[in-house]
Amino acid sequence: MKTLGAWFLWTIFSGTAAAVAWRKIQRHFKVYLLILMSGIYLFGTFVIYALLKNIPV
Amino acid sequence: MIALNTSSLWDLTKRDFSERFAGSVLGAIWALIWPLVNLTIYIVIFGRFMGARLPGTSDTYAYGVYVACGLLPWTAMAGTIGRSTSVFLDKRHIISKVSVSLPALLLVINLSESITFAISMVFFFLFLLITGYNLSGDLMLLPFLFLLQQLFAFGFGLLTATLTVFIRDLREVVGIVLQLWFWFTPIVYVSQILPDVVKKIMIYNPAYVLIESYHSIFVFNDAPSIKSLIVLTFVAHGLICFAYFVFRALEKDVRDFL
Repeated sequence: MKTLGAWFLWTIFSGTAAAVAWRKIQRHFKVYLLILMSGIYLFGTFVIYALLKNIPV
Repeated sequence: MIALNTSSLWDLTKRDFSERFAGSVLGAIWALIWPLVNLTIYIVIFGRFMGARLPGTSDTYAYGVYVACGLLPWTAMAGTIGRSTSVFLDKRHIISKVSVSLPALLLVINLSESITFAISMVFFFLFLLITGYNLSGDLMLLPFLFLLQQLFAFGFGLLTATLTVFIRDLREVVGIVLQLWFWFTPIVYVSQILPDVVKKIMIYNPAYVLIESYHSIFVFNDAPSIKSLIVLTFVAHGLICFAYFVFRALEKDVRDFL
């Protein structure tokens, strides 16, 4: 449950950050932004999992 | 231009999915029959009748589960890459008539393969629940593993799809590479039987990292290597960036060639 809760908060946070950046950024770079945000989101998800489950990275 | 909006993507995905079974009497029911037959072969035939066993276990179904949880994601990934490679050529009648977003065509394939994977997974889970198979808590990583896998397939597919327009032989090359890749990845065999030299190289195989993660979760009830998954996250997104850069540089020529 702790992991699911942390993932939920992380999803809300990264989703909001992506939405704010989406509005600010120029059209041409939007796809690169999407790729970057997707990478950060997955990276964060795995790191949160490792931290909460005490898995050595 | 048909942009990347949700409703058009969903419509195209539904059409792609139904086109596969167009003209058949049972229609989309085939989408349920295929995974069911495949799972029966992997689990019942391999495990029960052929008596194949995983080293160190006496569980009748362990090898079947091992094969199934490797083959299902592999089929989705290889299907995505294989179909993406020729998507611009296959859909040239649409591309030449309608100003469609080309990466959206790859997303459609990705979503369509994901639906097939989801259907297969429902049957797989039903089987695991019926047989009372011990499921680990690490199972919650499954959606993220699949997302990472399909992102990698998207990047790979976008790169090969762009280049295939100019080098038609690439379609066949990708088919052969996927075949070799399948046998170079421990899906139907265990990695312990490999020589040490191959094991050392194997960690650079993205499919190995993914499939071993599925094996860890489903078969060995263990957490997958998070370090490897983080590295693969960087690799997959780097690949998408590179593929998109190449695509943007060649997009005009791709449309002219088609």
